[in-house]
Amino acid sequence: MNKENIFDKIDSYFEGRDKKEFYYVLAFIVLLIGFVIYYYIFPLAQGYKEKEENLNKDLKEEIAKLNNDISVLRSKIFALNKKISQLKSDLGKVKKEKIFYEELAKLLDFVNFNQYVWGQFVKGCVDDARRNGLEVVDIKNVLYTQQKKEPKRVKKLSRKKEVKKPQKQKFISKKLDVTLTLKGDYKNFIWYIYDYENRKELIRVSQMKILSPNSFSVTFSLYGKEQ
Amino acid sequence: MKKLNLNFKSFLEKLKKKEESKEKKKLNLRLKTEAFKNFSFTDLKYKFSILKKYDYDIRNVIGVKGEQRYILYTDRKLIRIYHGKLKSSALLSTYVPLEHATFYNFTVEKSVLEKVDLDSFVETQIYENAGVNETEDYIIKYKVIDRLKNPKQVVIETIIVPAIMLKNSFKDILEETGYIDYISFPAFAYKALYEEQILHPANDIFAVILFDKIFLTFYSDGDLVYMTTLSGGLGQIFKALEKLKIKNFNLDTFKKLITQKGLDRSKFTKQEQIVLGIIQKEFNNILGLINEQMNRVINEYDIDEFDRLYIISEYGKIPGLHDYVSKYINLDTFGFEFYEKYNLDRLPVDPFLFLGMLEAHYAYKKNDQRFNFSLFLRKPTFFYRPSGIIILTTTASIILFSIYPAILFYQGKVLESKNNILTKKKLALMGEKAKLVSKKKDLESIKDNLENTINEYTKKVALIKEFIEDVYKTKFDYIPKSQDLVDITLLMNKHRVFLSKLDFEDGVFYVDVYALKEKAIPHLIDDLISNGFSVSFTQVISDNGKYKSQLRIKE
Repeated sequence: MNKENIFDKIDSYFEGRDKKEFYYVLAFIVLLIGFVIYYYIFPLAQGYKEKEENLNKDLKEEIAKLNNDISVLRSKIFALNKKISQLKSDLGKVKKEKIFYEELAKLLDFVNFNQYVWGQFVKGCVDDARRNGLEVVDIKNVLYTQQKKEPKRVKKLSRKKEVKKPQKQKFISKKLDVTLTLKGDYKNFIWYIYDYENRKELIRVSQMKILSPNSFSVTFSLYGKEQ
Repeated sequence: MKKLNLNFKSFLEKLKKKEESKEKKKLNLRLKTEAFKNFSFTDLKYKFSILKKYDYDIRNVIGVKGEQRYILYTDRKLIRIYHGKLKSSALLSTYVPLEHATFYNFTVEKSVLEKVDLDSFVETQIYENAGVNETEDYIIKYKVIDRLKNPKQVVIETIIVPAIMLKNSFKDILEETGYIDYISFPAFAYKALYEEQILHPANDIFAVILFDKIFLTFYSDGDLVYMTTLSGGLGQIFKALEKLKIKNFNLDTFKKLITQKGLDRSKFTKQEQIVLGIIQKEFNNILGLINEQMNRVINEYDIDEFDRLYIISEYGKIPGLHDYVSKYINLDTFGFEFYEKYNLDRLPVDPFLFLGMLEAHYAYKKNDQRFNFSLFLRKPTFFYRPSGIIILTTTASIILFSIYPAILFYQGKVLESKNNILTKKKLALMGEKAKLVSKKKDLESIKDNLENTINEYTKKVALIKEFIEDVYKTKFDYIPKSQDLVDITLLMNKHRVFLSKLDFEDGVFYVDVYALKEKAIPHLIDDLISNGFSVSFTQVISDNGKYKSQLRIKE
């Protein structure tokens, strides 16, 4: 005879027994399986699903927030790009403007004041007076600096020293006062003043005296920009 | 020489084995080819029989008796030697040899049958009257025969086989398979000949002559009528011949004599006529007994006459027997070669085995197991057995109870898969956000730089503008004093006003003038005012014919 396996043993066990007993066994198996599945496995499956559901919800919320952030960022970036292109355009304009004004400012370099200009101006005043038929009786000059109130240097023709407050202007300020005492014709004197007032340099007549028909005194104030 | 002889023998044996194996292969191939040719959807149905209660294919029946194994293909009406495993889809059958069974019959009133539990009644009758050992278990199969002339009575024909015999005699088969689908008994098995239409229904006698017994079975219109066991048989002939004291006469020579010469007069020499005479005489006795039983059946049963006699001996076919019997009892006499048409290979098939195979087929076809002696029936297929039902119930319970958790788990799994995608998406978005934040930062930095640069440039431009404005203001806010002086001088000349002294300081001309005319100075003042000057003056003083005054002229 063939060797009995577990199934044959089960068959042999139930052979000749009451069918009810077999049905009880089946019912017990069904209940046991139901119990095991619904007591042990069901909570696991439910927990697993709930966990994944919550995770899904969280992920969706996070993604929605991220999408929102991204769209906000994109719009900001778009705005920034627009702004940047506007700024680049502005910068181009400003650059051009700057170049233009720099070029323009270069044309005004005669306002720069330095020792050379000072010397040249004082010398020019004397030379021009003579050229206009005026005799320079006296000359004195006062140098104005922004740091120092004391005159920096005085030309050799004057012994007097004066210090005055500079005028209130940001770039242009009085740099030098040259006072000339002259002798000559009134007509020459006026021509001399006219000549200086019509120069491109920033020259003003700050004081003037006519003492007699041939004796005059004039103070030229030279304005400029400290380099 | 001996050695050579041995080698030759072994060579012959090898050759024989080779030929046998070739034959087997050929046969298998032929069977496969035939199976392919005869393929039908019924075959397919049997192949997928897992859901059927039993996995057998009743069209094919394997018959086993000792070493003999045949398979009967009932749908093709073909019998073959069977080489395959006994445990197969074909029905497995064998038969209870006649000598192991006891026949017993008894008459009973029909009215009694209605009142009793027939099984118990038959069992009681047998244990009480059949002379069986009461302590032994018997397997009893019976048939109620309602063919008596007395219509109120029936005969119950029983076959009694010891259970121990059924348990022990088929051990070889059971060890191989664990089951036997059908164990037939020839007396009941003859019915299959009519069902298979090998024989047409008639009144037939089936006689089997054993060494010490004669089994007779009577059938009428395809149904069993009567069966009986008679004393006598081939042993009776053997004893009678033994008396002749023939040299070297024994059972083997007797068997040869019966199967080779039998009752065929032409095969006996003159000297052997005495032997034939004895055989005829003993057969006459046997046939007399058969005739006696035949007459008894005719007398007692509702049968007028018998049409055919089928006779066979324990040793097989006996030459000349059919002619001899037909002359003696005036019946058409035939052998037991019912399978002639099935036996294409002319195999020496045991007729009772063939009958058993045929009966097994019809018993399963008609679901009639009344005459099946098998105590070891094939078990139902797995799912029809308690173990299978338990497995099925367990599996079904697990599946059913698991459906809801499985759905939850599946939903969780789907969500997990979605979450994986969402996590990837989230990471991608986080990456994108980080890139955008970085890009925004870069752009802000660019913007700030640009703004700073623009501011710087704007400031520079503003400074330059301011500078230019300063220059402009310084240059053009100033009214040339030479011009003023020329204007004042011209007006003084016009009005003949003379200058004594002029002092210009802080934008104001302090002019000391004198005139010779009284109104010259006022006219000068009027003209100065009308030319846009702001003029104030001290009083005009007349001094020595000169009118003097100090004017304060503001541009």
